[in-house]
Amino acid sequence: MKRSVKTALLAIFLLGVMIPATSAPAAVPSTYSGKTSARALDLSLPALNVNPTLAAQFKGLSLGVTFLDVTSAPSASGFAGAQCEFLPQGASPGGPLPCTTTSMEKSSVSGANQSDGDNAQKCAGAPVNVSNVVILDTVCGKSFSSSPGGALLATNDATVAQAKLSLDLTGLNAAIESSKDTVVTTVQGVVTSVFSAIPAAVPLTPSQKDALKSAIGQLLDSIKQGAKAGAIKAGASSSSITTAGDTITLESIGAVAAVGLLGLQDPLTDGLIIIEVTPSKAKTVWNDATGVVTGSADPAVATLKVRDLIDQVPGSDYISVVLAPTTLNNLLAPLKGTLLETTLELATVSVSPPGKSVTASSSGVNIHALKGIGASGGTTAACGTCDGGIILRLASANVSFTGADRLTEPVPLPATGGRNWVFYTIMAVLAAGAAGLFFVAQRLRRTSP
Amino acid sequence: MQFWAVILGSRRHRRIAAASITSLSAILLLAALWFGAYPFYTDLRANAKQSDLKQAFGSKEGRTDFEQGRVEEGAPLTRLVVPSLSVDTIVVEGTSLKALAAGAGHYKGTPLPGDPGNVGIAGHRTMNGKPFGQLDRLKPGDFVVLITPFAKHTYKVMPAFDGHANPWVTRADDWTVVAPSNESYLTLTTCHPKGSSRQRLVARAALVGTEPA
Repeated sequence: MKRSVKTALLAIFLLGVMIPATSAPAAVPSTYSGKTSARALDLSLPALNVNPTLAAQFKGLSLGVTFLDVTSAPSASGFAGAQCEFLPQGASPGGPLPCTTTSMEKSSVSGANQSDGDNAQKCAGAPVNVSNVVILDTVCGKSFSSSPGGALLATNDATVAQAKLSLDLTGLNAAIESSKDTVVTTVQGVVTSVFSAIPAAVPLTPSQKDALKSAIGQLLDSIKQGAKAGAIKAGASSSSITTAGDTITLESIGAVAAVGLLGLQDPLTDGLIIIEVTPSKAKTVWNDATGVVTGSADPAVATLKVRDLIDQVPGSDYISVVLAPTTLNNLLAPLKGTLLETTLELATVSVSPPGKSVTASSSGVNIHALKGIGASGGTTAACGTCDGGIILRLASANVSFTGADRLTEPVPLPATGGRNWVFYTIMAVLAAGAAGLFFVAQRLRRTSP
Repeated sequence: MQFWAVILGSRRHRRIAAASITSLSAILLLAALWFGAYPFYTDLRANAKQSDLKQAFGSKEGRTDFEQGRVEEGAPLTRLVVPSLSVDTIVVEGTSLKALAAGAGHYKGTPLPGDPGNVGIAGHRTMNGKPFGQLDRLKPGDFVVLITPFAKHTYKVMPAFDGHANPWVTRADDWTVVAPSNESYLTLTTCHPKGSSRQRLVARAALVGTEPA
């Protein structure tokens, strides 16, 4: 009996303590959705028009492709494909993508405390020969998504160690031979411009100019004999989301290390032109406490290196110029209308102002090189339509994020109205019950024989 | 009668049943007494707290904490006197359930008593000493005094403003009543109607004078 009395009193006490308590305001999590994508490289080769068979086989390449879609559900869906056929700009991982499955991974989570994928790279056996046009070294993809405690954490990395373009340039022989002097003079002009862009440059002496002309002539002869068209050293592209406290960061990085063109053995080390490119980055940071997303983007910075054919700078194999738009235009202008016409668009970034919806993108570096090769008007020394060549889109990254204010149920001012009537009501009910039971007990006693 | 005779056939069974039911009745009666006494218990508890707070309020540590602006949650902050309502209570820092068990609490984030801006104080209208039990009887022109370890700040209940009376009733989640202000106000809040947290009763007074304590 004593035990039951204690239990009853404890229950009543707890009930009494709970009644005047205020209900804690319930926070409703914020809602958001975001998308991010990155590419290390998009490559298409109109130059292959000189070889219709190859042109029909080679579909172009998109290397180092990553996507990540996230929502506050929470959900994350990631994709990492190291090697894909050329993907248009609007491609999304919603449907099947023409990517090589041996270097592709996907992961997705829906709901809290889930995980999918792992941190191990999935790599295709190297080298990968794409239609005898591009030889890829190690290509790997990795995708991992998780949602510990509802906080999203996902990484998608795609890497391509190196891609070598195995273009057969012998088709150029006739064009080069027919107007070799013109081509050599043009290239000499470009190289001279680069040399003159060196800080404290000393103008070339007549003998140096002759040496340069001779060296370029030799290089063109080498091309006729089967020089390498180009090689690309790719970095890892990635799309990721991290959650730390009230901050959700969605980031994409598109990375290409270097592009070498027109080399004798390895264009990345002996190419006439080497373009080094830093990674482009795009990022959004959502602050869950303030309900504001801010974006940022770092452009890829390109450095043009031209082979120092005449040892203009003693001890250096290359002359380097950090590219600025005006420098670029000046340098490449002499090539316009020639077989070697090349245009190079430097990275641009766009970031919308902080708010509820932000897009950040870094376009990377776009190169359209050697436009006269495989041009629709035919490969001639003078480029008419200039729609052939090698088209490279390097290091692009995009992020978009839309969030809505964290919703909270209205928080009341402090509760200062103890519900004393509740206690009195309970007291009355209990007292009535006690009286009733007492009455019953009395009746029982009276009816005892 | 016949019913009990059937259910409880023997005399012994009836006695046991009667004793059990009587015991249960006693338990219910005790519980009823406890529920009936609980509101009064909170008042007694608040009064006991007030005694302790008054001692702490005048202590050297209390003065130092106030001077350095580091009064902790539940510690005494100011003495609130409303002559027209016969209120004289120590207001603690904070408006948590635990802090308000002392009767009245200062809204964190609002200025300290006497400082420029809108000083907010919440107080119980029922139970826990019910310092604001008669807040609805406050009238424009009544004085409300906040006494700190260093000064005595006198506020005067303002006339009706912004299209409503003073005191006035507002929503339970109307935090605008303790929103920052460029004027030196004192805003008192409590629950409305009595015994309910459905709405809030608010009274506002303006600083009219400060003198050293």
